Amino acid sequence: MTARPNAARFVLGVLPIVLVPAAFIAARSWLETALGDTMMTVVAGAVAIFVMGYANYFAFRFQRGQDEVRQAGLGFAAQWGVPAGQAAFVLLLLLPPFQDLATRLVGDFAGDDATGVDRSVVVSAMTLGFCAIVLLQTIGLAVVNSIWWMARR
Amino acid sequence: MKNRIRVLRAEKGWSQAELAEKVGVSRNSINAVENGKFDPSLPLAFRIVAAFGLKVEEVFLQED
Repeated sequence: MTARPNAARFVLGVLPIVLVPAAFIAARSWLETALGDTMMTVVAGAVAIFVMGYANYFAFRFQRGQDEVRQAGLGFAAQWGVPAGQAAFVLLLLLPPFQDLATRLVGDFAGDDATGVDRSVVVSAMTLGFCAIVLLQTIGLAVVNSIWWMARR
Repeated sequence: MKNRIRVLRAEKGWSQAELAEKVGVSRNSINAVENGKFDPSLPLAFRIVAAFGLKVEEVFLQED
């Protein structure tokens, strides 16, 4: 019998994805003072890579423990959930309250330089970042698909 | 794909959970297969028919 999904273990597994960025944001001011700008950028990159890597690892481990019907369910969820999430982000990006919130967050994150944050710059940066992610994901899909077929020749 | 899992299970007096235990999947998965909502892979189909001691064609029926 395959292991039943355990809610407590699942929450425990997801926790680092929430806690690490939260801790980073909470300690941001102190880190900036202690480490300086360059090291702060390195730490921010390391946090982003950790969260992304751990999230993918956790998803892989979680899926591997499921039987084929549940895996099909997860596959269906990924097939439709990811585009739905992308569409939701695009729609959010069009809403002025979300644009204001994003600008305010970027301003808060920038600290002393918050006064000069331009909403259109923030929205443009987020749009470009989103497009870059979607483009790289598409390239990644094509590459991994090619590898999959090459391994089966 | 149609199947006779519900009937065979009733004959054996097994619950979905018991059959799930025997073939190594969740009860929800057996429910999905039994109701024709999910076509099992060959390995799972073989495990199911082995649990009943039958052949594949005696449990799973091709739909026309």
